[in-house]
Amino acid sequence: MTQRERKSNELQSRTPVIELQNVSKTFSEEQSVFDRLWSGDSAAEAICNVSMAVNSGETVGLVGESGCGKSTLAKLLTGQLTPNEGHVRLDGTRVGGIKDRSPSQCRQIGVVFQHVRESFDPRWPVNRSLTEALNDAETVSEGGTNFNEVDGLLRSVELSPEIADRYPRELSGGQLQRVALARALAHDPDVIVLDEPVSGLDMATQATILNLLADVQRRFGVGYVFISHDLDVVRYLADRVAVMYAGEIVEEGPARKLFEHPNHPYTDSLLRAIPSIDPGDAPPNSLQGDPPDLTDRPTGCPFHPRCPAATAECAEHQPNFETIGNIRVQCFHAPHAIKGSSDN
Amino acid sequence: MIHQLEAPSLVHPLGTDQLGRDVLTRLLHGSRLSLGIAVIVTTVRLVIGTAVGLVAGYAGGWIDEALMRLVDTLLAFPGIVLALVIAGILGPSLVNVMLALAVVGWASYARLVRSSVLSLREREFVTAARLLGRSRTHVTVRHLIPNIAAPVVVLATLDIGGVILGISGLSFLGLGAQPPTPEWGTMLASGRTYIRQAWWLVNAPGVCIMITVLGFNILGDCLRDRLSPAQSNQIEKL
Repeated sequence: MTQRERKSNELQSRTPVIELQNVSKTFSEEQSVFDRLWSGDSAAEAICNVSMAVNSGETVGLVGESGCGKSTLAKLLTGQLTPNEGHVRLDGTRVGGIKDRSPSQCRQIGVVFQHVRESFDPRWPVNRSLTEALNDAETVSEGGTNFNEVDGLLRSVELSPEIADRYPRELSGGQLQRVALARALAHDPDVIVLDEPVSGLDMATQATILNLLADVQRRFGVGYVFISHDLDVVRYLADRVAVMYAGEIVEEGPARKLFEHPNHPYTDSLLRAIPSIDPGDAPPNSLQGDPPDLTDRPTGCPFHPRCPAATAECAEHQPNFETIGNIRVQCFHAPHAIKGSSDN
Repeated sequence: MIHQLEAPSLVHPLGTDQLGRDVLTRLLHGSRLSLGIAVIVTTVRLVIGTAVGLVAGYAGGWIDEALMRLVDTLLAFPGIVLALVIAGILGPSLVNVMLALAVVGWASYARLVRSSVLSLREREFVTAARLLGRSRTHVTVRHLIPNIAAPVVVLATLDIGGVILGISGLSFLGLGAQPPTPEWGTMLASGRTYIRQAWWLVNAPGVCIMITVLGFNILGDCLRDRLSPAQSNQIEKL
């Protein structure tokens, strides 16, 4: 057992900071009377019966194709959306959306948005945005700035304090990403939700941001929910990984184990789609077909139309979670499915 | 009354009126009134419109629906006709004309502010502030209002010209400032009688109104160019 796995095992015994319990979220389009007469209900099930928990100090990676519900899941965690079914628990207490959360509950979760540039008021210099995020900002936000704290925050993300007077548009993508992290740290959260934090950056900047994230976690003991479609990045940072497909978590477990021995055919195909740096290796194997239409989900296992190991059973019944060690996987054939498909 | 209806000369650059008063002096004094009233009326419009727009945009639901139907109703009437009716009911006086014009004109501000709020509240920096546990008041005062200020100010400068015309128009019709108050519209109306003998009596206030309205329109256009998002770098440094 590696040090990382041991760490995540001992963390699991505590009450998680934030927990989703059998959460579902459907989006219904606004329909005219005529649409309803002709086509019936067309609600999209973006998140389907998902449970997950995040502890402080650990990193949970959330991977999957575009449109599989990663960002929706993040919004459920932060309270931007409220689930149709199931509960969200903060420190064991059931909470609703932002409106129903107290300021201190809101502040337990930090957010780094997918579009960082959009997430800063274009009219505010960095110090004002950071001051807004500080805990004792009620009086300070009357126009003043808490220079000491802002200074400290910028230093903790390895930025020079001179940046404080700049406007968001004057900063580079990498700098802005650091400022966003500083803002998320400002109110001392237990968990930070990072939505594609490195996807818009060049490789060199990606590496420095990832190292910074790891460093910040070590110093502040904060937990991360790390959303990405880049498996290499997730492999580098995550303690645990949850693989999402069509709004469901199909496999979840310690990162190392999951990447070395994928149990779900979908995890396997995601890993095979990574191009290898060695020209002698097989070319990346892309998954055939498209993700399912969420307004019209396939019966049984949502992955069966694209699954190389699918049988008649998969089309009829939704598989339950099967536990293999500390991995849970939602597949009838795990782990035999992988063996079968890797032979051909 | 020795200086009645004197043509423009060096002593009276714009001539004198039927009572022998210097037209230029009256025009200069009247500009205080006309401009002052226009600024007050526009400010009242702006404040009411912004408040209604913010409430409608932020609250949504039936409140939004109700407020916007009211706005639609107001916009459906020609403003000056409605103002005429209101001023007519209230009786002729300058204050009543101001009231009438203010009540009639806030609808377009409400529309503009509401649509800006609707697009702004979907922006992530507003979400970010909400996720920090900040109140609606905080978000509105610190984020929304500063970001909608630019288009509203532009609309106001363009609107001021219309308000000047409105006041002058209603005064011309005898509903606004009463003689001998030197208001431009009132001066225009009382000069009308002598248009054959003394052309300067109508031309002077007429040209004044025209230049002022034109000036405010050009100012509004320039502000719009200056405050457009592409140029926002410059404004913050001004």
